Amino acid sequence: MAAGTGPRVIEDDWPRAVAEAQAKDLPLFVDAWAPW
Amino acid sequence: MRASVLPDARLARHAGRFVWLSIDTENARNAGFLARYPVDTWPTFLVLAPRDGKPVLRWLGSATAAQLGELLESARRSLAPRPGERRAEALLARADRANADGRLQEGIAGYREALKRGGVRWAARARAVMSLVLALAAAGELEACATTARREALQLGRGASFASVVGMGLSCANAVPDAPWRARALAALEPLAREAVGVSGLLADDRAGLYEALVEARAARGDDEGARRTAESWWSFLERERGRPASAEARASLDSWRVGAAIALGDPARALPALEASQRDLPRDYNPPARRAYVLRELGRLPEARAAAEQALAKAYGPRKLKVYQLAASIQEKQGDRPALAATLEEAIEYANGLPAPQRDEKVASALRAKSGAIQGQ
Repeated sequence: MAAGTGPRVIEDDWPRAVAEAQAKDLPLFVDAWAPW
Repeated sequence: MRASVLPDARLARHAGRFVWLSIDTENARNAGFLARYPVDTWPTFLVLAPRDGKPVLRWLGSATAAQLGELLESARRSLAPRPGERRAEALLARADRANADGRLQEGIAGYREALKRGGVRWAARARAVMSLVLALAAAGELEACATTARREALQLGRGASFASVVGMGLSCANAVPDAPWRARALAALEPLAREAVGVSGLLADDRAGLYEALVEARAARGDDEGARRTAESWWSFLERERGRPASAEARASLDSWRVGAAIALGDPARALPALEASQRDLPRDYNPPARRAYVLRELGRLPEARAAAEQALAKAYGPRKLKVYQLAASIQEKQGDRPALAATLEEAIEYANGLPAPQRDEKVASALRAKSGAIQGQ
């Protein structure tokens, strides 16, 4: 796999991500995962 | 996904086009998110509109970097349709929104219409087929899932999308032991799945899932020797993956498949060395000791199983901890240690009651309460 400049991911902070999405008028991409 | 797919160079061009959020669904901090966007498949990817948070796209299960790139492109087009956009793309976007919003029947009808409009050479056909088959599975329309997967897979190029569609179809057929259509569906899908398991460029997780579905299909057709041979191939694949240079997390991510393959081979002990290595490499992770506890219980090595379950319980958190409590209780029950069993069940019920509602698995909590009641009644 080619490694590149990946996105800056906000961890476990939905309110912050929503605020950023609204401020920048960008859609929010969510990766919902579980540790198993 | 976070470690293996998101850093892929093919996604770099999307980095500034979205705000990226990772949600650990076991973390109590994320209860509010889960109350609004319930998740029952892992991973689940969502794209949410910036202003009102409405879901534009929902994708269940893993995706390669190329597939994820295509999904992100679809979501962007859906949010900002271009004038003159093809009708099929517009229909796909509408189906995606309905599907993401839980209106599965509307989504299914929309995907079918988009496929009809797009035709066999449509660039988004493979993606639309995957979405349709996923939506059919989510709606419980398992026969349609299996037959659609088979019909559409025959027309797809032999790549990751072909493998995903075939894997989903075979899983739908495996899920219904008594259905009259099952034998026909298995016979049609199994050769395609054998082809799919050899396709290059698949995520190891997806390839392992295909092997598991193939083992189940062989067993369902009464071919125990064929199931065993397939499980051996599955195990060999997992061993090759274990030998590759990778992070401890990436190696451990295939541990559940190692347990599954070892159990399918009737030789659970095979999985122990990998699980022990994962426990050494990832000392804060509850999964390796939980998996060891399960395997050791299957082997009848109950004191070791119990010790491993206790190690797992000390590290586990969130809704999944209830499953670890169930595992610990099952070992104590096999040991005939009723006081310990009663205490574990009581602790588990208390833990379940303390979980935020969106993260409480009521089915597991009810099973724990029923078990506790039965023990007290004895």
